[in-house]
Amino acid sequence: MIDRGEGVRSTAADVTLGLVVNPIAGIGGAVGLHGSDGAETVRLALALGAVPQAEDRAVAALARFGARWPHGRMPPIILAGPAEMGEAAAGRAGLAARVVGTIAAGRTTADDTRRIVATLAAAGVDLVLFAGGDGTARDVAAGCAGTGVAVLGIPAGVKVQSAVFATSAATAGEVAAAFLAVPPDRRRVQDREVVDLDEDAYRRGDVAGRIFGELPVPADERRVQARKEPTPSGEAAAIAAIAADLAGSLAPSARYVLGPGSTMRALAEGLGVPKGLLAVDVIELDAERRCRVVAADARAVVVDALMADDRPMAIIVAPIGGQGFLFGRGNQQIGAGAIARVLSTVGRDGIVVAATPAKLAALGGRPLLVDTGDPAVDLALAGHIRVVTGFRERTVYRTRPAWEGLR
Amino acid sequence: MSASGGHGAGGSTPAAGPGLPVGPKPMPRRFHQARWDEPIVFELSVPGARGVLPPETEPAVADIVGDPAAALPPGIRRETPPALPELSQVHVLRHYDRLSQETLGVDLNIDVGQGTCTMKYSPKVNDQLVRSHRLADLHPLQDPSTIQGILEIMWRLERMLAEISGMDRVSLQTGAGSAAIWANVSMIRAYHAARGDGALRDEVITTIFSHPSNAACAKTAGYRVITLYPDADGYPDLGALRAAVSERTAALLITNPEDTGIFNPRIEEFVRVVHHVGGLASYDQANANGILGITRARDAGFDLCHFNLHKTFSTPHACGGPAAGACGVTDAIAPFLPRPTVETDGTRYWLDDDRPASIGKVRPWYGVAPNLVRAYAWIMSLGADGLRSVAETAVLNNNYLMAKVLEIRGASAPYAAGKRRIEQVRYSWDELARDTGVHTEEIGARVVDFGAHYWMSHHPYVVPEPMTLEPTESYSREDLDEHVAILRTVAAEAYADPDHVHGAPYASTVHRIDQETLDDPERWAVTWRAYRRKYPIAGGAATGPSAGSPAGG
Repeated sequence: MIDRGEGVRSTAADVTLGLVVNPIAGIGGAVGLHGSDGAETVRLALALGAVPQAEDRAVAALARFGARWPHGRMPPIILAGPAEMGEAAAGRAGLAARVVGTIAAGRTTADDTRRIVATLAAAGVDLVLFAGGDGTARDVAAGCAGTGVAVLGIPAGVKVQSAVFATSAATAGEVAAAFLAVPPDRRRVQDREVVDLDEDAYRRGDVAGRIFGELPVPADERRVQARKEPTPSGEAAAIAAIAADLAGSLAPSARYVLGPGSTMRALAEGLGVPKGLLAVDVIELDAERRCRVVAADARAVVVDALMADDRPMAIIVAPIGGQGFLFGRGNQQIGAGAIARVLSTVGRDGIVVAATPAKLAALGGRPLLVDTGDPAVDLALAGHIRVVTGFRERTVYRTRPAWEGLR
Repeated sequence: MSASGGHGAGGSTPAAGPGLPVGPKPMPRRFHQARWDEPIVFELSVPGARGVLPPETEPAVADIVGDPAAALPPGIRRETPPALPELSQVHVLRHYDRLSQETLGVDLNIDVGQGTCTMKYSPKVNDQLVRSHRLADLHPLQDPSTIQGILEIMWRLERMLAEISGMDRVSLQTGAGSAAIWANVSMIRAYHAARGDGALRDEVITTIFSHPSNAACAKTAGYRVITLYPDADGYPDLGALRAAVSERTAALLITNPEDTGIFNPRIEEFVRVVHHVGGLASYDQANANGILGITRARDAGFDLCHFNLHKTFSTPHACGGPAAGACGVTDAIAPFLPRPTVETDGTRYWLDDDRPASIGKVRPWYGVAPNLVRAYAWIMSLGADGLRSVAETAVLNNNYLMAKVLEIRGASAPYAAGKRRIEQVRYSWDELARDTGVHTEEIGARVVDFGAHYWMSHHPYVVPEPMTLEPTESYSREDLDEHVAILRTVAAEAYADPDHVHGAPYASTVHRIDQETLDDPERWAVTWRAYRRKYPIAGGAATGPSAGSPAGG
């Protein structure tokens, strides 16, 4: 009667779901502590009367998961962290779970998350469902590094900026059910960024994220965060279009600094060179426009040295995270000196900015921010800057020094 | 599948009044759409079935006429009959009646949910004019001396649209929407080429809240496109425009009011900035419904503009098919107009095809004659005062609707707080989505349970969780109240029982489609051939169209 298009006639025999709950995620938010990282913060939050809520979110997700699981299908095997790290949530949702790992109840740590996730990945689960915030996402990424296991976040933290979270706890259950209900060869994942803040800086009012890695997340772009709208061809296609435009416009015999992020990595891949997601790389094109990496994962001194050259050069960056930082967050390897040199030798055209329309839209009209550490350079970048938004598509977008104060 | 999944659309059964067998109808109305599971017409084909059996030709006639196909040039003669479906009359009628029951259209629902599309009522009397043999029997290859009437209508319609826009000449040769914008971009390109700087001027500027066809047509014409984002007040960013223009600027293509319904009061300044660097300014007046008789493209300094006759001027949308456009230009651009143009010496009319600087034909012949007649009749029935009252009523309706929508919990109208809007509003359900987890697409899926339509093409979501409503002048206050009641009901459901909204629609023809397919170009089938290639029939032997069936169907 109700079509859900879920492909329920799967032939998969055993489906396994891994579950981890960070029981103290989000505990600082309700009492205004801007995060929950650090044992002292947790103690303070509990003293202020904070009530842990991550488990409730996990229960909501699992309840929806159960409701959405196709009728008549064998329920998945659930492997969960012990006690408050998953087992209890599964029990409250009425789902049987096998426990993996051990913890000291009431005194769980980030290391517990990493260990349990590593165990789940080693056990070959089809999906790791975790409840927490950006800090938890970092631990999950560390725990399953290199395994390729699919991951989905139940938003339960103060900071949920990473693109690995569903839009709500219930949605996480839906996405997980839809993902696991289809045969493995029809499951699609998309690599999405794990972004986190330095919480000490965040408590001082500095809201700048940086990328800590990537996780393969079920490709349900309508219901997974950082994807504000379903576009006809998707964010990956938008990034590919930008990379194609940039690759075609690079000049021969020129040197380029590539900032971090998935857009820059797509550009490098288009040019036939590898690139780390978090790295700042320096590349060079020869007269035939063949590309080679001059410095991979370059530190600031290396970038400065390579830019003190007479050849044509440019800096290519993408705004970081949801904050719209062009310089000064996550790419501090590109220092004020290198930027100043490009501005003086090439001019503003030497600073190439790339961002998908969805990423700009997510800024909600806020300007792009610069914080190079040199106020003169920041002011030289302020005003309006051209942004590559697609293949032969541009916008002209406002930029402002971050230190002028955030709106 | 959810606990509440079986709900119908409406609320409780209406309480009958004392002694009366039928009580007042509840608001919003209860509704359930038909679902016929109707095959495509090719699958209904039965070899030998016929709708009409023409009598055999008498031998005497056949002897005289001979082979009628012999008169056709060989190039247009088919060797084999076309693979058409074979059906009787009643099967054809039943098929299309069933399909019509599975759609919502402007004549069926209160179509204010299809914002930006100006879904006004098209008076049926104008269809009678078009169906009259005096128009229907005309052929574009007739000698102009025999079609003076339709040429006069085209000429007079051009003059009226020139008056409405302030432009010198108007071509009715193009289609509407993208076809009209394409014609304008082509004229812009020809204008710069004629002045010798066509190669230098390779950039076109538009705004994110302008109709996306502006960016698309400019790009198709080979331009690099610069799209400006709004400033904090929702207006196009004038500072960004100043930073964007250069000697490479070919043109600004801009809508006003933009899709937010906010009129840009600095529009003259935008035009000046672009003119200052030698660029042209083209006004996308697809949505002119709120400014008829109030402001004109020419008065703000624009060089070109276009109307969609199926929006402002009441010709039927017809599923985006045979719509007519109108491209208005100043004398400086007129040499580049599509050909032919309609010309007159005051007593007779003719089509002028001898226009060496013309960009050529954008459509066959001289556009869509029936729609030109409809638009002409619509304007003539209203007169100048009537056109202005169309705009005033549309604006009044819109601001009434906005006041009512903003009373709904979870709804907002970003930008220009406290200001009136022109003909439409881009609302946001951001607050509702954050409170309930119900997103705008899901609201759209739920309103169809009440027989309402909901427009979904807002990409990218610069306004989060967007919804665009455009009431036009055609809807009564009761109509608007009914539409608001639907939205209010769905918003209340989102807060009380979000699962129920997540599971919608329940009362529609189609419930859910596989969105994933839409994101995967490998699975797109935009032509029948692509469909056959990408979805080969199991067993291979798919030779005739009737063998086709939807994948998994």
